[in-house]
Amino acid sequence: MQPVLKISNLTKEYQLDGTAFRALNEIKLTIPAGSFTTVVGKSGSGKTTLLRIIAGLEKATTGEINYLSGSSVQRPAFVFQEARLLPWLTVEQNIAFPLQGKLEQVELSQRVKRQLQLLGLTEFAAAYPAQISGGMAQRAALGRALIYETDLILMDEPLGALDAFNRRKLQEELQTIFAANQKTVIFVTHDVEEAIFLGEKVIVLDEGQILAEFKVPITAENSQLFTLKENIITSINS
Amino acid sequence: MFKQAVGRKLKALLLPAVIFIIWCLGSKLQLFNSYLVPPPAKVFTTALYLLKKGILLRHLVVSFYRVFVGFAITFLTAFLLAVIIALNTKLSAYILPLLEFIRHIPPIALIPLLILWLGIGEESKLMVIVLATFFPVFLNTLSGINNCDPKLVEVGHVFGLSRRERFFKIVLPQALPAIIVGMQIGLGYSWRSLIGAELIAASSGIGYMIIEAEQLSRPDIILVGVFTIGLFGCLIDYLFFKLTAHYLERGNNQNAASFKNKQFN
Repeated sequence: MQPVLKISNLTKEYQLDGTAFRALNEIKLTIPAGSFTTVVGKSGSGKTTLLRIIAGLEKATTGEINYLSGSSVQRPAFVFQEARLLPWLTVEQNIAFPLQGKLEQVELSQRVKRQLQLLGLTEFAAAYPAQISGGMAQRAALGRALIYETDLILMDEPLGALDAFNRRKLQEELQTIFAANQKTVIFVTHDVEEAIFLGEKVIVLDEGQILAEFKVPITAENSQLFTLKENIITSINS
Repeated sequence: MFKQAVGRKLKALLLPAVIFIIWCLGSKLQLFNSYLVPPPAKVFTTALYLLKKGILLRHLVVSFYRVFVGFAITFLTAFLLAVIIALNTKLSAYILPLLEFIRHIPPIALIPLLILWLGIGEESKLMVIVLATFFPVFLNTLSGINNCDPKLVEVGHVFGLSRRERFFKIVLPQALPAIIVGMQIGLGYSWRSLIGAELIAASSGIGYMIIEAEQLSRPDIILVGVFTIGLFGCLIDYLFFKLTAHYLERGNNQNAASFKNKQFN
């Protein structure tokens, strides 16, 4: 598959009380177009920093991020851990937000309508973020990322704040949505099962370094998945 | 819900009703000196006379004009200055200490200087209103913009919004409730400063009517003026609230509860 993103020797250093702290250390990564890559690791392993640098929210100390030729990605969309919907806009307006003023109103309305249907939010189109549940808000945030004209979506533990039931439901919905949308996704999580369930490839990050990469077999038996989970956990704890 | 609303209104009317009854009884039983506290009937008759002759309306129009022009000047200057300072944080170190100094000076204390500098025309009266109303609008706008959630601004970054777009689409809408509250307080202050403004050699306006009544020893006219200021102050506040309620309420939890009750139960 044609790669969409190539990360070379990416390093990020912070100064903490005059001491340099390395959050990312010489990260090398290639993300194929249309792939679903999950990144797992303990808290403080550098997962979020990696996504924030790819999104342009932080600058790398050294290293490069290249969107490869032929890629339509100008700028990736981002789904944060919290939904971060604008509280004064309705669900519908929040989804339309990235393209507001950039598209004809009729075209925009049609696209928003499609996202609302896809995410099961049609009934809540006119509701404000404070009026909907956390799961619905996160779906609306996903709709806002999906409507943005980009092939690359970065997701930073977007299901982390949800209860187990909603989390499982949204995981299944994410699988269906991304299978239909052909977007490239980098999904950060600290949940190994979630990483295996959603990802085609699982990257293990620890202390700012890539420890291991695991391919998830498409048609795997439970025992295989269990072994994979054990291997990933061993890798994290090693 | 309806009962609660009626109950709230009755509670609000209780204390004024008690004061009115004491006023009526005190006047009837001649407990008050009618020269100092005119009876309600006398105040009512005076109010009717001033209304019929168009005197009250003429003074009201002039006062309204001063309040609104003064407030419009305040809003433009205070809002723009707050935006400039909020967006250029380096400037705040130069400007805020001076503004903090001016904030503590009552506008009334500046009246003699204002007369010297601006004369006894409309300018000095408008300036008193501007000085009295500037800080609520300025400080609320500044705090609304400064307290904007940086996480929401990041959303704008992520979706490629320019600095200008981030300001107009994220920062300003988020600061809007604080700005509206500042405007509401400022409007209230403008009415309160009106008397001070119309003390400056005025020949019209509710404040002038009150000052003139004092010189004529007509407490009934003074009370008509005082009630008019209070009544129209409340009216402006109410109308402003009705006009801006949508922007204050949208997306808040109270609104959420009513939406849920309407739609999903």
